[in-house]
Amino acid sequence: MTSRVSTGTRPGARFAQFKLVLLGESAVGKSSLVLRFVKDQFDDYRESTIGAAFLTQTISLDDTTTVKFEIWDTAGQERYKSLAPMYYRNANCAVVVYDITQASSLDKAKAWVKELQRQANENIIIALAGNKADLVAEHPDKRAITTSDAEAYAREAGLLFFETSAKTAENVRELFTAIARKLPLEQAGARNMRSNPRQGVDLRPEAPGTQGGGACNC
Amino acid sequence: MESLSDTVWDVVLAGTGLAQSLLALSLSRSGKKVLHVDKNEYYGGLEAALSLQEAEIWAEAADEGAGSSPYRHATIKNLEREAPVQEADGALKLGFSRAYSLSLSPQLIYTRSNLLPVLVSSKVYRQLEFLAVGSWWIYENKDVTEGGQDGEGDARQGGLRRIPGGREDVFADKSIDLRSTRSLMRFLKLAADPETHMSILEEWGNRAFPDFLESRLSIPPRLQAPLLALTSSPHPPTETLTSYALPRIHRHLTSIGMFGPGFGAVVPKWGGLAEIAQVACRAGAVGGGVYVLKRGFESAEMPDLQASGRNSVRFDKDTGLSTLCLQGGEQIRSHWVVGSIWDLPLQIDQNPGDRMQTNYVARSITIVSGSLAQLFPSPAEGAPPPAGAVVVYPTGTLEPQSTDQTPGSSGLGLPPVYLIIHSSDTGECPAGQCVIYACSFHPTNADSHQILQVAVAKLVASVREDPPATVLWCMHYDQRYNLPATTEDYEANIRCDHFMNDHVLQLPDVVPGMALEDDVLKHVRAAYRRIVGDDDVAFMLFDDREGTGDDIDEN
Ligand SMILES: Nc1nc2c(ncn2[C@@H]2O[C@H](COP(=O)(O)OP(=O)(O)OP(=O)(O)O)[C@@H](O)[C@H]2O)c(=O)[nH]1
Ligand SMILES: [Mg+2]
Repeated sequence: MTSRVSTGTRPGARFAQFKLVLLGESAVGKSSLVLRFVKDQFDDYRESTIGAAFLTQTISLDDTTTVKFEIWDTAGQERYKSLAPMYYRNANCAVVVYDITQASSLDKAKAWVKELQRQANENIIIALAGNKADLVAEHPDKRAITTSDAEAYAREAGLLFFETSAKTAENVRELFTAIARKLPLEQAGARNMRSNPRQGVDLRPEAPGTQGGGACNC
Repeated sequence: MESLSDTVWDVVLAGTGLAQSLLALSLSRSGKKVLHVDKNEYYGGLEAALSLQEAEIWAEAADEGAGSSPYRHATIKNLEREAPVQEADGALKLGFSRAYSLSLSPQLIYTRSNLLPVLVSSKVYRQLEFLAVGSWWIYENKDVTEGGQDGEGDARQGGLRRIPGGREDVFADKSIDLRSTRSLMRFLKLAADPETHMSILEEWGNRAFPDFLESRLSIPPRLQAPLLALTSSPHPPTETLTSYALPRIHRHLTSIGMFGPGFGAVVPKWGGLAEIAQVACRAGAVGGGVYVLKRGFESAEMPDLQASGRNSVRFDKDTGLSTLCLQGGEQIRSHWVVGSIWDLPLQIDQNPGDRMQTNYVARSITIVSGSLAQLFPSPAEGAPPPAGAVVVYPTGTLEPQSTDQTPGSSGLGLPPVYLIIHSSDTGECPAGQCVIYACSFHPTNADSHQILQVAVAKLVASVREDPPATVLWCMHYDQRYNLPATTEDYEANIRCDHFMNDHVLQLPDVVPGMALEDDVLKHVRAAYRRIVGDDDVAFMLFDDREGTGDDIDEN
């Protein structure tokens, strides 16, 4: 079995790439979390996602370990619900988002967790994110779901859990870093280790210095 | 919320097979409103990849799906239950259902395929992983092997012989005598040079390939078999024409070395062509396409449509809009409707015969314990480790020895049997196991499943493995396929004569052979041209989307 974690140019350096999917009801802040994580921005008037969006972000876990997320942000509107299977297929990790001021959004999140546990990879890492924490900081009465309730559910279902705010950036980096730390960097045999395809074939004939590409035909 | 019927769609795509998905990808930056539906609850259509559980459900539907799917006679055997499990070693047992991603389309993709440059130019290659297909093996019966001069073709090898991958291999092969080596070299040179093909084909094109090899190049029958194997011909040698064989051998030879030493074909990781179809659909969704699973069209067979005398697709000449009825009754309007014949609302059985030739191919998928490492030697120094291998059983190697009463064989022999073996590196099975995909174009014979089973059993038995490899699970089925109406006129092939409406296009099925053929993409491009107009220079030429570039060099 080949390792899909590549060693980089620096001695001992490791690089791994993982597929991450965001799921959750419309307007809970999935795209906002991604925007905060990838560009460190926030937008008060964000348009609802059509279909899906794809972004990448790389984080360093320590001096030698780099993790690249291939992020699929799906549309939460009911009309797009058929999309989810093609994004969680072979996903290594998922972030299921709800809005802590909307009780119904946690029900939807639980339904997604169930579907992931039934349909996605056996060892997918799932994180639950209760978003819009900034809203209750100002107006505690706006909270619809207590931290302890959500925490208890997350523990029971085996999920990572954070209350986040895309607006203030609270816990956003922490969320993605916690996922990265839990991913099987060492366990090269993991089936769903979708990381850098060093063992694979590079399709770009001009690719510099990679094995395969442009190799001599003699 | 806006319903599907409120929108006037530019394009409705029916089915999420490879061809429709590539069309969705090609339209993903066009600004066109695309609705992409599939009657199944999974993506991939005829190119889907299945878990064990999904395979059970699929087989049940395929077995009774006459008319709405190209499949028949699907059966699954779980042999693990029969064999006593001795040890705790997980690889000796079937894994979890979702540890498998069994491909209905395990075709290998030659490095010269027209698809690969398009996956690069459209940037979706960033989400795909490709693995090398290494060695091609040919099965030789004992008498032939023992008759050879080499000591290698012994019982341990069980009659498997590696097909030389190129000139160096031919020279290195001690079992080939000097004269034959010279003949083979002459052939390899000639096959690699397309300029000479024209004149050869003029004279030999319509004659059997073995005839050409023997009469023109004095290549003895024993050395013809490996060359025939490289053609992946569906027919026995006597029916394999030089016009069919030569271009395919040319493709094989010139593909080797293109993306690295020692291999000429690749397979996508995670379930064959299914993965490419899904990645293409994802791009379609990012481009704003709406995706709906479990929603096909009401077809003309539906009683209520028949009673009302309506066609399943109504065309309004003034607006140029087609109206179709989705399952569940929703009416949708679109400028274009594109799908495979299995997804468009037409009655299949009235269709073939006129323009299309209908055939069946017998196929099987087998999960074996054991890594079959012997089949995956490194083909050359510096080559990426192969995750795929090919084993060919030439005509004559699987026939019942004496009693040759097989109907249809008429002395010509059975067509060859082809096996593509995927190692666990493909992500299709747990580590320590392999998936063997078998096919033969001889389904009129009721024994064709039996023949595939024998081929797999012989392979498993001929590989040294400790503990010995065993079959854990297998599925057999027949797949009907329609060769496109023409070989050259892609515009004509996508016409759907069933409707008096030239805004309905049909994308021909991917032919279930050994290799993905270039016509799939050519049909997609023809459909793209019809939809966007003649100007197709931008076909599949996309920039990276913002925020997705290769922001870090993985080196
Ligand atoms: N106060 C506050 N508002 C937020 C936060 N995150 C998102 N929002 C707002 O909530 C609205 C919806 O956010 P999106 O990120 O578009 O939600 P989404 O989950 O991507 O929605 P869909 O794309 O429809 O599935 C936007 O107006 C955001 O500005 C947050 O942490 N705090
Ligand atoms: Mg969004």
